[in-house]
Amino acid sequence: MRYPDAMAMNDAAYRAMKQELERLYPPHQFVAFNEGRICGDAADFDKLVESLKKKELDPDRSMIVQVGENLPDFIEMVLC
Amino acid sequence: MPVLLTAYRGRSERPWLRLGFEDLAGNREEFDLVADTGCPMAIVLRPDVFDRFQRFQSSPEHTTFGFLATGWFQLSVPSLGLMRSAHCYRSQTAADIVSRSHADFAGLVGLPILRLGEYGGNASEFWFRYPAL
Repeated sequence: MRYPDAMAMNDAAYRAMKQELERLYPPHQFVAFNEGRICGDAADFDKLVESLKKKELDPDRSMIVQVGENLPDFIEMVLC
Repeated sequence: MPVLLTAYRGRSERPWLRLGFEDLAGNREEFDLVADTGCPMAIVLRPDVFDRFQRFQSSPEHTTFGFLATGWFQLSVPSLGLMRSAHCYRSQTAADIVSRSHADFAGLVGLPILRLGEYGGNASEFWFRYPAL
């Protein structure tokens, strides 16, 4: 089950902190949000997932982003 | 070096790869994805596939095809020894376009995944080798 409210809260927190994350964490670091707060980070995705499991955080209420992915604000796809 | 080799397929012929995904319970399934070196996203999936195999949500992104949900997936291709997390996008529009070429296509695999290895093609086949030399 997904929780749109939890996702919206996590996404709002991420967007508010996006620039700060790039200052706080090295490039490509994985950072997890839960209930609108940072709840863990790791250089390795699987290690971060393990740490979330140990904290017994619900994956459906969590969000993971990668710092400094360098994706543009608008991604252009061309398909035909 | 391990290689995936596929004959072009579809009404308008496309290069494609059969990639596996594993959900949090360890269930694995394979899907045929159009290989698109011009796609800046790692993987774009049909919504039903995305919803079944997403392990963690990530931040939605604004794209040509609208505001798309994104998430983290476990990519699993044992024949290549390729097991890693991948950032995927959920798009019905992209899925509709590729499935018009062939009904089995469930999405796209883009440059961020293809460049993990080596890819190429000739008149009849496309290939993806992993890891890169």
